[in-house]
Amino acid sequence: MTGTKRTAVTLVVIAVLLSLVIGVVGIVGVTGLSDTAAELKQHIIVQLQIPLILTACLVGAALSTSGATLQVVLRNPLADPGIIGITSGASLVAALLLLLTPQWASAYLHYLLPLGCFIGALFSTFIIYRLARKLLGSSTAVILAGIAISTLSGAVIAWLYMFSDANALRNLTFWLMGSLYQTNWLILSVGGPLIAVAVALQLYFAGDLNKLYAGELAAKSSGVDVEKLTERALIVCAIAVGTAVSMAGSIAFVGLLVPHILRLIIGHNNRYLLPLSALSGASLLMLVALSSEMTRAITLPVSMVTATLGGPLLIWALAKGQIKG
Amino acid sequence: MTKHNFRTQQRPVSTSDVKINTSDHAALGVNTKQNTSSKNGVGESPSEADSNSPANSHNLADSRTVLSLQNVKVASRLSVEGLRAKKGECVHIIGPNGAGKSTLLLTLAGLIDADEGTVMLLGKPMNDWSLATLASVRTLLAQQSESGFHLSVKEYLSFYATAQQDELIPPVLEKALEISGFLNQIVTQLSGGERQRVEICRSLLQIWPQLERGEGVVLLDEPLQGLDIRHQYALASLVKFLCDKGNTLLMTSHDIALSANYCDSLWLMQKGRMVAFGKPQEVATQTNLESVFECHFAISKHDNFLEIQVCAPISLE
Repeated sequence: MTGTKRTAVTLVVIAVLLSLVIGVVGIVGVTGLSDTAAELKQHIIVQLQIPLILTACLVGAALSTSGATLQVVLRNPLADPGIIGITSGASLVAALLLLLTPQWASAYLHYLLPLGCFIGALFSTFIIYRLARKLLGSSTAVILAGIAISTLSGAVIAWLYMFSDANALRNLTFWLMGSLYQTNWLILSVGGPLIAVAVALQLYFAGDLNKLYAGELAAKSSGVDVEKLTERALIVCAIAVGTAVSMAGSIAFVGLLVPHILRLIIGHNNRYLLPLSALSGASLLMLVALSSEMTRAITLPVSMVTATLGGPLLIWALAKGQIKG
Repeated sequence: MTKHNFRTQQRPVSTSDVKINTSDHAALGVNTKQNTSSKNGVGESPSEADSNSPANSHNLADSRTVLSLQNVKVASRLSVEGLRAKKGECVHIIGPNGAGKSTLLLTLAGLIDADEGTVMLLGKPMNDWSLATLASVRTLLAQQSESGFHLSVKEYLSFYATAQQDELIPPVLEKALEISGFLNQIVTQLSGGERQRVEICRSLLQIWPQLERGEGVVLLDEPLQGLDIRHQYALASLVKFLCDKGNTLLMTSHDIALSANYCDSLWLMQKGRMVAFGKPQEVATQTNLESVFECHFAISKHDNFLEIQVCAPISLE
């Protein structure tokens, strides 16, 4: 690695760590740990705010690492778990579970949800993968297929909620727009390890993913079992994204935004890109969570914030020719 | 030369050589078809003394044989009876479009499994090699490699270079391929020929330590594609240089005139079969070339130089 690149990596790491520190200090500062009426505040911090921050970090890391991995595996710089319909597949199964789970089984919902979301995510991942193999080299076709899948899942979710009670409408927003406020320690204890393992596995694939840049045959010639790698990477991404959706609903653009900006700064080496995507994604979502905490705009849909940041970036990237059809 | 002899190619579809069942009759050196393997061969592989006696001319146990094929069939695309490449040999493979040249290279690279027959690399059957160990002894330049990512040439190459290497591009490669001028450019924005030079460099870097020791096996599918005339001959010289070090190299080409003068062995393919193989003077004959390429050729020999010209290309009337 050259000197300039090493500097860039160092700068990114410093920026990420700094924002993590700001986050922790921020949450403590905003709520005022030194306050004398500490009991209630402490309860709020421990039961609400720390889980909130941890969820934001985990979900951000899961989505941006998976975005980076998917982009290489599908050879499509536009691949984002949200854009290509993986999150919406997971959301659909989650909505189905929430509406159809009988009363007696609802106690197990915390365990069922990640599993259901994983199945939904896996299912839509493989639809996309099959299409991508057929349409290899055509970025736009894969994106269009993803839009079709996510629109369809969105429509099915909306239909489901039309036929359920009015109270469910708030849940609809959760699954379609994403929210970090439905989390708690139980959800974290199930989702946390799943995401940690899924992200770690992606880091393990980084060296092989690098070889995919020159295409399938070149990767095979240099010793990468492309079919096996693709299969494993997609399953791992589905686990990460599915779990993230079960914790925070669908959150748009993080998987596109973070790896894209990082590639501009540190280049394409997945050995650096994937871990830094995890860190930056974590700190990005944490800052989003923190800003809505500070502005007291309760249950600000996360997707609203990330889409506000990511939408213009996507348009800019398309206009600049960074992404080609 | 005015008489055109362009028959429509009639491929006997019903008797195509697709074989569903695989058989191992060619394995372990039990060569049941020893006599047929030289039927189509115009000459033997080059002038090594140990290959001159007919008894062991296709002996797979020959320690100098690096790559060999025995009765190999791949779907309906390839059907080769007996072929081998020796250590340090420079083989150019020519033939019309769809002759099976790329399939042959992919089979030799271990990336396509033969439906029938044995492929041996360095005395070991291809099935016994793992992708990872293969990657350290042989390299393949395939046609059409794609990358939609905007990474720089330098970064792109660095992913394929073997670790402990003082400089990214060894001086010999730089001399022949001249890519240091656009190391910082984006891969997808290069011209076709520049991109091809980068791809050649990438494939050679993959086994560069092996190539330096003269123990590498290089398979290049149409490396001349897109190169300007200067770099075509630079590449042909680089290939020769690598072979002189002891590396074994096979490449496909459409430039018969260049190939005939820059190889040790010329393999001539048509419709999935090896029509002729051996020394270029013996393979690149008027009869062979005219029957395979369906064009008229004028061939003259000047000492060691073969001058090959196409006289009557296809008429559109």
